[in-house]
Amino acid sequence: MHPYSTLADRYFWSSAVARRSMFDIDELWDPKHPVARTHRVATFGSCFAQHIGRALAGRGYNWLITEQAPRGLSEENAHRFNYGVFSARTGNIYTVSLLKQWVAWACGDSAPPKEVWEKDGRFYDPFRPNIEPDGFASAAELAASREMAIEAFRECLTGADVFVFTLGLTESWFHAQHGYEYPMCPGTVAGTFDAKRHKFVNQDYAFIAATLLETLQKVRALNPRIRFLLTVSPVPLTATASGNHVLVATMESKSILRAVAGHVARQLEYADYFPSYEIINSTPFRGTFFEPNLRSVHQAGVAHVMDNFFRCLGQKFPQAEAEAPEHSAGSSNGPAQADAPPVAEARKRRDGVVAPPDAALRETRRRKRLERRQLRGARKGGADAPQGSCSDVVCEEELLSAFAKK
Amino acid sequence: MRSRRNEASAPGICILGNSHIACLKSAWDALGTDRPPYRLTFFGSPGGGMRELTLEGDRLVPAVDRVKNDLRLTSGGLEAVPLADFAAFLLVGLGLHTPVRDRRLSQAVLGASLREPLDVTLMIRLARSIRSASDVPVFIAATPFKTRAARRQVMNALPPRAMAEALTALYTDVGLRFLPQPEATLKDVWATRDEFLKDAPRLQRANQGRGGQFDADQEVHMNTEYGKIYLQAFFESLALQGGVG
Repeated sequence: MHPYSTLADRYFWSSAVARRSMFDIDELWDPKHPVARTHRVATFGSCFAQHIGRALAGRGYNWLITEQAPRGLSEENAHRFNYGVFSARTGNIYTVSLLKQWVAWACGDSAPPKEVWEKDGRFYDPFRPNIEPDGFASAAELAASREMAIEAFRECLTGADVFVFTLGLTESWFHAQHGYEYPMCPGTVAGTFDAKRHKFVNQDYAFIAATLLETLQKVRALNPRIRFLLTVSPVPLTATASGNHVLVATMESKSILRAVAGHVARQLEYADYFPSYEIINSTPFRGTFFEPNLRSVHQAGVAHVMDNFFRCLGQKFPQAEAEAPEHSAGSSNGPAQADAPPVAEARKRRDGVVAPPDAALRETRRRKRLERRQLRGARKGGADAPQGSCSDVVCEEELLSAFAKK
Repeated sequence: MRSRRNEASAPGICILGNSHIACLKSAWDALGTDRPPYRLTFFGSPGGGMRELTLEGDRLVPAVDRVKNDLRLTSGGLEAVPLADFAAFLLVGLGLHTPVRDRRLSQAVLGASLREPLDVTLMIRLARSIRSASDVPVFIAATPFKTRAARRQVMNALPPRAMAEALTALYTDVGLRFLPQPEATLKDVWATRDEFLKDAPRLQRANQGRGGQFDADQEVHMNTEYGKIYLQAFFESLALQGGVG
């Protein structure tokens, strides 16, 4: 007898992976905590986090949005102005140090810098460069808008039951003198790059782990019931300033982030890790879920990830899965924007009533069959973006004109 | 298209709206010899009656007899609105309520959240119709605030005066001027003072024998004193814009 003798099938590569269809690889996640439909779930982070929020709302979960689109804004304009992307209009928070920075602003520990980027008479927020497609009319308007976002972010910190954070990058840009971090290199979207003022930092494991631990502990002190769900974005880097080949830089970056996420999840009882990264990226899935550009994640991939998410939750915590939605529209409402229906609530209504468990299982199987058909069609379809692509995901890196030709 | 004016008469101002013009009409009547030098003509139909107006040439013509009768009764004989006869327009009520938005929204978001829903309102559609046939000033007066703030108040809300300015800027292309409810009529930012409910007059309608006053328990229609304050504010705005006549 030895420790492996009594292990279940899921702990052996042969039985859990090699002898299965990729779509039948399951039990990938053993959740620490339930996520009930009544739990208020906030989502922030890198591009991939956007999928999680929408998927939650689409399946009748309470995706917390504290910065709602104002009443009267069309769905098209709400998307254009980046409402309903994350739980507040923070823009992408690519690194844990950016998360720490936002938390510091939300807690009043520090004030956002006064730096503003001006371009063609419009003003751009260095910390949310793409939050408004044409920038702001003035620095004051920019500051007021950011004030709303910080306030809404704080509401998430204090009001969420679950905080989902998708770690995206290790590569980062800092102000050399003042030490604050930009979500992207100055001069790419707006602003002007100055080698004397702007410092590239490829964050290492020790720094990221310490920063993430510190930040989560701080938020937990603010909101003792909050739990964290960490994921790692599977989306490769658009570009690297590390000096390495972008493929090598991507693997190093993601490996570090994956190791940090696992470490923090083991260290903190209230933090967990969900393996969306493995589902998209690991060899058994053969890159199936990537678009032809080998970077964007196909909608079928997102669906498969979220199927795993909800299935694992349901298997571990069937009672939480079976709970009927008890929350009112008010729980998804952020700051009172007069009678604005929450985006999450609106999506739930359009998607219909939450199905009972048997129907949900049939729906899962039907979706898997559809995914396989879509993927086969995508591979045959060539380089054009197939139907169901994730091209509507706001990925600020994609917008960088500097990279358009690459 | 230029407006046609009788040189021997005071400049004509058209007050067009729903039941909320009643307090303005009663105020104008009450002013008597204290009236400023304008010739006000009122065109009113309760509820959504003004939906029945269509633009025919330079006149707004009602499609149904009920509204035709309302116009005749309120205007003193006219069954259509002769746009060319007026040097300014004040559109009142018509389902428009002062929007509430966070003051920290960007102009772009604010504008996008206001323009689309407002464009389909009766108020704006009528205003556009008038503008298409006349280049004189067109003022917009939203429905008065209730005496109890019925809607959930938004923290950091753009105050009504600033909202009126924002709407005016938003509709520069149409040339509309949005009037805020006069501060003298407010008990707080979003509620009208209670005393303006007392003895609020009804808009008289033909064939129904209605007129008189609203019941004491209503809270949306205002009285003659309110009307006087509002008219005064309107005339001041008119003068600020260069007056008429």
